[in-house]
Amino acid sequence: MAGSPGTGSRGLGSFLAAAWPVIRRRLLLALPVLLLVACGTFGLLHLAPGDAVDAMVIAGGGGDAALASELRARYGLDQPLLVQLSLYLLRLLQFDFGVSPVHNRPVLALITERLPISLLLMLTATAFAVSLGVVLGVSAAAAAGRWRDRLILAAALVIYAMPSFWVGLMLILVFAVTLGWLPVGGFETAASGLSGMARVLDIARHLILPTLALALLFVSVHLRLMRAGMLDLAGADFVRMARAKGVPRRRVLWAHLARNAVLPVIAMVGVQASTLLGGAVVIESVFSLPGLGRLAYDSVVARDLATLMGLVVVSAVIVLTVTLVVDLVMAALDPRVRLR
Amino acid sequence: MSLLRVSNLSVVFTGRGRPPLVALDDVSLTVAAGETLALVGESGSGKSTLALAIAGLLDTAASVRGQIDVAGHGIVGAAPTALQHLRRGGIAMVFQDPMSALNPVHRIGDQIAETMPGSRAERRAAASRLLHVVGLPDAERLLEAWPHELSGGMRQRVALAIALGQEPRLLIADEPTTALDVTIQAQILRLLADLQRDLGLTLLLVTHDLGVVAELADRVAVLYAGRLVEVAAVDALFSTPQHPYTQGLLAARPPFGPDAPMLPRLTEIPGGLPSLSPPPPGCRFAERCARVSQRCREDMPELRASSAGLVACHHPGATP
Ligand SMILES: Nc1ncnc2c1ncn2[C@@H]1O[C@H](COP(=O)(O)OP(=O)(O)O)[C@@H](O)[C@H]1O
Ligand SMILES: [Mg+2]
Repeated sequence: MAGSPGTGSRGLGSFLAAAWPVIRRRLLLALPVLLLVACGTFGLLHLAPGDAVDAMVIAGGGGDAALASELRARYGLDQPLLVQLSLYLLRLLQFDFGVSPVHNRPVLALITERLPISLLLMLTATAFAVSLGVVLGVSAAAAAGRWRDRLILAAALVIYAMPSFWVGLMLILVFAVTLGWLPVGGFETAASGLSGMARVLDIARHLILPTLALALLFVSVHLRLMRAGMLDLAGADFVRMARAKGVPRRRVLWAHLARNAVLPVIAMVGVQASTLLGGAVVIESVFSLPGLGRLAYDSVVARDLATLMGLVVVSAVIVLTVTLVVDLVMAALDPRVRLR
Repeated sequence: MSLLRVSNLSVVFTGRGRPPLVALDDVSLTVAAGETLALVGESGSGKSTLALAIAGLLDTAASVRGQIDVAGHGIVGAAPTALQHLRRGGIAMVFQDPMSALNPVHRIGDQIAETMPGSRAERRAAASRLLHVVGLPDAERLLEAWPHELSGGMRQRVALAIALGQEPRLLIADEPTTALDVTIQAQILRLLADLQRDLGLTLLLVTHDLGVVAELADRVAVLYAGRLVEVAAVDALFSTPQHPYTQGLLAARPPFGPDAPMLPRLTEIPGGLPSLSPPPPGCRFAERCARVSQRCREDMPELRASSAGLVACHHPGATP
């Protein structure tokens, strides 16, 4: 029976072995969703007037109709929509996202170059948001009703009210421009010739501010969920039981209370997967990070439909993957959760 | 020698924007070593509050006055480290709802062994032994199980195993069978009685089931709206209850025993508990009492020696 990886055995290996049938099934289920997403985007993008050739021709300053139609024929843009769609879907199934008429390179290559940057930013921001949210939530709950609690809640409200791009700009202003502690933007120092550990550290320095800006979008939600969970469970019998059997105060707080209260926070990460991706796009523009966000922005401006559609499909893949990973984490953390 | 001595204990719950609630008022009682004392009273009368106070588990919203002594150690106002010492070889507690008394994300074995001394292997062996003691064979499998995989009765046995793992002298059981099926109730009570006898435990058994009282208790303390109204040996309490409330409880009791007809309750005490914030000035039972006099409404009766034990009533005695 698939779906109860927690039972009986310990260790990551056996967990994944038990979860594998579920993972496989979820991946198969993702396919129709992705096809639907691809069709939807295709339709939406073709409803908007103009295509990449229009944009190129306009950018070139002239109205050479012969060149335009030749370009259209080359990229298949002169075919009926349905034909274009079926061709596109057929190619998608072979992981062929087409060629970007603007960059004149395969869309897949454009995306895979930039994907790691976006994924890294999403990962660091999520890790930071969850850790900070948990620590602040526990800290607030432990002082419920007292000044430390109020201070944390007030700060959460202020942070919640600030748009993330503005936070990003302010961070740049303070830490990069005024104090000069951290780089203004970019993913790494250009042409620095750094390698190995030095390069990793250089990238880390570049990621601090974007991570902070993106994480702050989620910290207040996480910390309030965490705090509410802690207060909800504080009166639970199993917490009393832990105290009754002599578990030290700190361990009651973390191993018993927080360990249970963190579950809704993790679930929230899954719910907010698309918000995370959207936030990353904004933050990448603010910090000139050459990730998917930048690519998306450039593609919209250039009417690069091939790249845009590829981006949308990849975004859907990212969101579905995050959701699956969160479900796996939930199942690993909560024995009552059955993977389906 | 008394193992537990409660003297003039008062517990008031204070909360923001709510009037203080007097959950316990001037409660005094003693429990001898090896004795089983049943604490009875209807829901809301303060039984759990008393149990938690004795176990040193009340939260900070409760202001506690008076004294509680367990094996010579003061509980009220004791430092957390001092209480910590009593968690091993002192007080252990079992709760009402076995569904919520176990941490859902910790394995059974880990929960039993969590605060035991010794190496990993020693603690595992001890946990396995405890599961056998509480009547759960197949310990090897159970040690790895999660709480949600167990039935209510099994969970209550696990909770008992955890409590016994502390090698307590005083075991407090707060309505340990209320949340269970009737057949399981009897098994758990049997187990409690056996453990009490075999291990020489002192048992404070909170219940509102008088059938349980008759079966297990040596003495009974009756709590009403935060005050003790009667304390007596179990035989005396059942044969010659002195307080009108105790008499009402006994009359309202559904018949029990093997040949008891399954009849609906014949008598109920009309009315409910008075408000506790603040409580009425006189006897708290006055509004529901058939024997009430003017004095009862003004002057709070103290616990005094009666023919059968202790009673707090201006007009004690047999039902007229
Ligand atoms: N943590 C608490 N905060 C405020 N009031 C409480 C708290 N715990 C119990 N009470 C109140 O104290 C009274 C006694 O409750 P309790 O001890 O649970 O009674 P019992 O166990 O006999 O049903 C009730 O009126 C209850 O509402
Ligand atoms: Mg209770």
